[in-house]
Parts: sequence; C-alpha cells; structure tokens
Amino acid sequence: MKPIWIMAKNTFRETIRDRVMYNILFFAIFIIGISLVISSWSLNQQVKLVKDFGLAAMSIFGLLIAIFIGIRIVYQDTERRTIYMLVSKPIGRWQIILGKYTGLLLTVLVNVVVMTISLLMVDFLIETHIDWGLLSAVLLIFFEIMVVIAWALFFSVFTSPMLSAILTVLIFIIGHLSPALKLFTQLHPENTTNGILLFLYRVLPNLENFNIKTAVVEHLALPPGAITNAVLYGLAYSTILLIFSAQILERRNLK
Amino acid sequence: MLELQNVQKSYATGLFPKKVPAVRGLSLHVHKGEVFAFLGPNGAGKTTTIKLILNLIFPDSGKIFIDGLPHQQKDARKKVGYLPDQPYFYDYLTAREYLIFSAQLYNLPRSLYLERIPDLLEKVGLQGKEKLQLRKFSRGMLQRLGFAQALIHDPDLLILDEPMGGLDPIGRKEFRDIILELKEQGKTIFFSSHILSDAEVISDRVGILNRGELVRQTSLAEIFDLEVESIEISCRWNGTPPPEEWPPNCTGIRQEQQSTVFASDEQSAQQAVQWVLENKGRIVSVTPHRKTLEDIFMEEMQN
Repeated sequence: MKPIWIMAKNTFRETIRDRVMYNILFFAIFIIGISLVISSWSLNQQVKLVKDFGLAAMSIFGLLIAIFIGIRIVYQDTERRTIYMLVSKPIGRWQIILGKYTGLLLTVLVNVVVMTISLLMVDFLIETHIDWGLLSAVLLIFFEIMVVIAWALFFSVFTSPMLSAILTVLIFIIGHLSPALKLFTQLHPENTTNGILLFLYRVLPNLENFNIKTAVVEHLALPPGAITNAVLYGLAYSTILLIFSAQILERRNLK
Repeated sequence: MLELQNVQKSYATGLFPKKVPAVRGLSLHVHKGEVFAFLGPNGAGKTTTIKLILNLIFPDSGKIFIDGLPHQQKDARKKVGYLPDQPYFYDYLTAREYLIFSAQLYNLPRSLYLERIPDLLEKVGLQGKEKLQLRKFSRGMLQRLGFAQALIHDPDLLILDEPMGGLDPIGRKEFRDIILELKEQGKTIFFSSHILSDAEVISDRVGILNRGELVRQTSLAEIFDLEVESIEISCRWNGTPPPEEWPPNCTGIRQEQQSTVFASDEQSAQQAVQWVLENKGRIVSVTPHRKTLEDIFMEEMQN
C-alpha cells in the first residue's frame, strides 16, 4: 500500500501545481456564485434554480477537471519518459496506476469540497438555512467523476491526450444516454440488434445511476438503496477499469 | 552481479510490421565490484539493453539476473540505481522533493534519507539548489540530479546510460571521480558510452556492441598488455645534417634539424637510438605505441 500512497501524494502534488485546475475551479465557483443573480430573475423558483445550477456546475466542472488532469497523467509520464524513473524502482506498474488514480481522486475530492462549500454558502444566502440533503447529490457527483476519471486514465494508458479527451467526453455523454438503450430494447423486443444494444448497455457506464439531482432539489423520495447501489456500482465499475488499465501498462514495452 | 543469457529483442516497425532485431543473442556477465563499459556506436542497442535489464521493455527470449535474482523481481530492482541517458524527471518538483520521492519509493527510513540528501547534493555539485524547481535546471544539472537519485538507496549495482552526456569537462571529471570512488567502495557499475576516453580511464572491462550483437569483450588490462605495435623515436641533429639512410627495420620522417624514427620492435628501437647517438644527434623522446581502446573499437566496427 505504501508505494501507492507515495504515488498518490506525488500525483496530487502534480495536479495542485497545475494552473489549469485552478482556472477551472475558479470558474466553477464563479458560476455557482452567479446563480444568485440569475435566480433573482425567476419567479418563485429562486431556491430551486440555485440548487439546480450549482449541482449542474459541480457535475460539469468536475468532469472538466477529470478530463484535463486525468487524460494527461499517464500519457505524459510515458511521453516525457518520467515513467522510466518509476518502473526502474521497486514499484509494480499496477501500483503506479492505482497511485495515480488515488492522487487524481484526492484532487477531485478537494475540488468537490471547495465547490460544495460555495454551493452551501449560496444556498444559505437564499434559504437562510442549509439544505444538507444536497450532500447526497454531491456524493454521487463525486462517484460519477470517479468513474469518468477511471475512463480518462484508461484511455491515457494507450492514446494521446487529445484522443483521450474526445473519448472521455463521449463516454460521459453516452453514459448519460445509456439507459435509453435498455428502454429501446424493452419497447422493441422484436429488434434483431437487441443483443448488441444490451451488451453495450452493460459495458458502457450508466451515469444516470449517479444523477439524483432532481430528486434532491425537489425533495422527492429516492428508490430504496439508490445511493448505496450507485456507490457500489461506481466502485465496482472503476475497479474493473483500473484492472484493465494496469493490465495494459503491465504488458506495454516502454520504448 | 549482472548476468544476461542469450537475450534477444526485436521491434516491429512500419505500416506492415516487420521485426527489426535490436539486441541479438546477448550474453554477458558483470562481476561484483567491476566497472563495465558498454560501448557501441549510436543505434547499436546499448539503451535497449539497459531498458531490458530494468524491465522497461521485455525480451523476446533469454534471461536476465541481478545478483542472482530474475530482473523482473522487485527485490532485484532494489539493488539497482539507474541513471537514464536523458534526464526524465517531474519538473514541478524541487531537487529535494524529487530525491525524497525517490527515497520513499525505495522505502528508506525518513531519518536516513533526510541525512543522505544534503550529502548527495553536495557530492554531485548541486548544493544550494535543493529548493529550485527542476523546470529551472539545465541539462547538466538534471544529469547531476539523476546521479544523486541513482545513489539515494546506496545500491550495489549502478546502471548508467551515457552518464557523461550533457556534462561540461569539469562535470565529466567529477562524475569520473565519483564512479572511481564508488568502485573503491565495492560497487558494481555498468555504464554505456560512446566516449572511449572515459571508458579507458574508469572501466575494468569493456563490451563492444554493434548492431545488437556483442562483438568483443575484453579487459582494459588485456589492452594495456598488448604487444607494442611500434616505437617512435624523436631526435634533433644539433646543426649536423641528418643521415641519408634509416637504421635497419626502421622508417621515418626527415626534417631539417629533426627526425622521427619508427622502429618495428624493441631491438630495432635500441639500434635506432644507437644510430642517433653515433650520428651526433640528441634523443628527444622514445614513445612505444600500443593499440588503444579506440583502435580496438574501430577494428570491430570495420569488421
């Protein structure tokens, strides 16, 4: 575990010294803050709008941070050959992957905490109390980003940052649309390509599992176990992706 | 300490991949406490061999052992300090942070690496630069830091890929001295180079690699013990005209007041010295010519 933690700390240090991250974070806080102004234009929907806006901003900017730092993290190491200095030391390649992933998660966690504090402050200004229920939506946003980062890291092991960015954004979009695949097979059971569609539905992430924003903002009841299931799904999905990433790096000749 | 047994490695290149051999049937044994120079022209396969030893790339066939352990094992890599041919470091770290990071990856106790880091920085000539970010380092400074991180865990085996590259003459001299000091401490050093003069000064044995094949292994002692190829005698004539004919078994170059005589063996050289003195000349120098590492290297390259 120790080498993983050393790698994680180093990755965290790498990301927090990256100006790109601060720019994104600053912009996220700005957007959350500006929701105060925008919500004042609405009629009787001020509270809802602030929460919707804030949670959406967290989701989008969390994704941007995941993409900008996640896609470069392994590719940069192989491209700049800094990985030579790691692999030549008594550390397994899988530990490098796991360490980098943990470091990225720490960075995202810090960002999510900062954005959450901003959101709760804005909420307090509007409602004069804090809606702690928002935290469950924030928790699942973090787990959603966790899955997206696992994909970014996976692509980063074997493709360039540009391609990784495109593929990660595609995964994010498809991930939010994938329940439609299942729905399609249910509505058209006669379709001959249903097998393929169901396979894709199972392989691609279902990021809608993590989307409880509307329910939280509207104070609707969630299905029993929805949060626990989403957390377990996020953990299992990320673990599988990390195993694949580590396997690819294990077999790779570092030319 | 380091053993390669019939190691083969080829790369597939091109649109329709064709395997190009990079290392061909390489076998060698570097003994404990030895300085082994791995020589060869650019593209000979030196860096590929080093990457194979460090498990950065995988051999198609053959075996590699570090102190008797298969090179893939972490315990084997614990015994190795590696300096790459290009300094590849995280440029957002300071020199001190990088050395701490390296020490932690070797699982060194904190008290030990905190004590060792200032000494190492001084040894490689980077004292006072510990708080500078690596992005502000010159190539030579990075090379020095690379050497420091290779030594951080006091390894038994040092693998140095072109260690003198990027260094000025002072840096090269300092690195040579460090290598000789490490040798005195009983460390095993395997280094690649195409600077033959460095290899001649610091190594015990050399291996010459050409097109992925080890074409020669020899000890420096063997080279220095090689028979004298010719003896050069320089002389001055002190105002008398130089003689018209050369002594037996000798050739030479005749100038107005000076001649250079080349004798093929020691006996001819003695006769040549006698000949100079008899003709009222003065001996300036007598220099025996042996094969140098460069001659051997060039011979192998031409073969």
